Amino acid sequence: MKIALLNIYFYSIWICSGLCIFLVILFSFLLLQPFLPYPVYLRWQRFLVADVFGRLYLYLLRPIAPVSTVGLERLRKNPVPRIYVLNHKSFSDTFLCSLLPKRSPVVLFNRTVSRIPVLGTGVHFVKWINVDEIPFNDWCEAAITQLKAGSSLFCFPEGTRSGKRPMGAFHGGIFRLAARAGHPVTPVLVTGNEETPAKGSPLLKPAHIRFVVLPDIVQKTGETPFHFKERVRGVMRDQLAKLEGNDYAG
Amino acid sequence: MTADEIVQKVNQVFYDTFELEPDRLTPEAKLFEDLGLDSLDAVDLVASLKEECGVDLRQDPRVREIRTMGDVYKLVTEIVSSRG
Repeated sequence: MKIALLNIYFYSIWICSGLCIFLVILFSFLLLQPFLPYPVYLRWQRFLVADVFGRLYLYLLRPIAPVSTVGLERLRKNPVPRIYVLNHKSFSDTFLCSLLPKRSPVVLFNRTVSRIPVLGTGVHFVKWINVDEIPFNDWCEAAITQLKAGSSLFCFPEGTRSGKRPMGAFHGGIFRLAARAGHPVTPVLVTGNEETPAKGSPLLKPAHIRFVVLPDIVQKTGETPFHFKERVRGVMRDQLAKLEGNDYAG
Repeated sequence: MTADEIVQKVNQVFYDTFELEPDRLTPEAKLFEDLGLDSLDAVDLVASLKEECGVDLRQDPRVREIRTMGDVYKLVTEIVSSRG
């Protein structure tokens, strides 16, 4: 009963505020875009989605699923544009990204996201990148341009939520992008939110979510993009196993 | 080229292109699920097979049917045999 009430509390506020924020984004598009320099306008729109909407989700989620973090201090001390790669267990992973230091963030998303009502429209206003609709070279160049302009990139290389299953295979696009840009990737692990919410269900089950930032990983000289991808995946898989086995040393 | 030579050559391409150890390259191994390849890697694979084995798969519709290492060996063998 308590869980049901908490879910009603969560979704009623979250959906209403989501619609309000969407309206602000729409009005900003109509009223601010003609007058503000485009990068400033875009940064404002992304702030609304990633910081306001994302943070609100986590704030509302707190009574159901508190989040503990490891490794954020290191990033805050060195706030540079980053390429974040996260494992993907649940819908809530997307909102957990708002915990990471960022400026004008850009999420690389696939066709599943563009089908979500409201959110699917919102991502077009903030010029996030749909990797399923654009050829690889085009989206890669667009993302590198954003990175050089100071944006951080966010990607879930599994491409789909793994839930309670082991971490899935990775798509290699983000690692080719990192190699092309000569930029390290910052792996981030999320665990505990497998059923908050579970795939195919909106119900948020109580959980303790852990959010761990791992050290940056750079492509080695002569390393193929495939091997780079597999090495990052190997590190994330091993650290996730330790984290879920409760012998994680931090 | 014999069937064994083709298998060896294809395995060498996988090692050179993806640094995949030969013990993972069994005929049953699924390219995407077991070996971790994706669509971009598939493009690299086609280019490497053309360079190393002289087989051009770019326009071959049978490429879409490939799921496992065994499928790769079979297709390369078919192309090599058809050349006589």
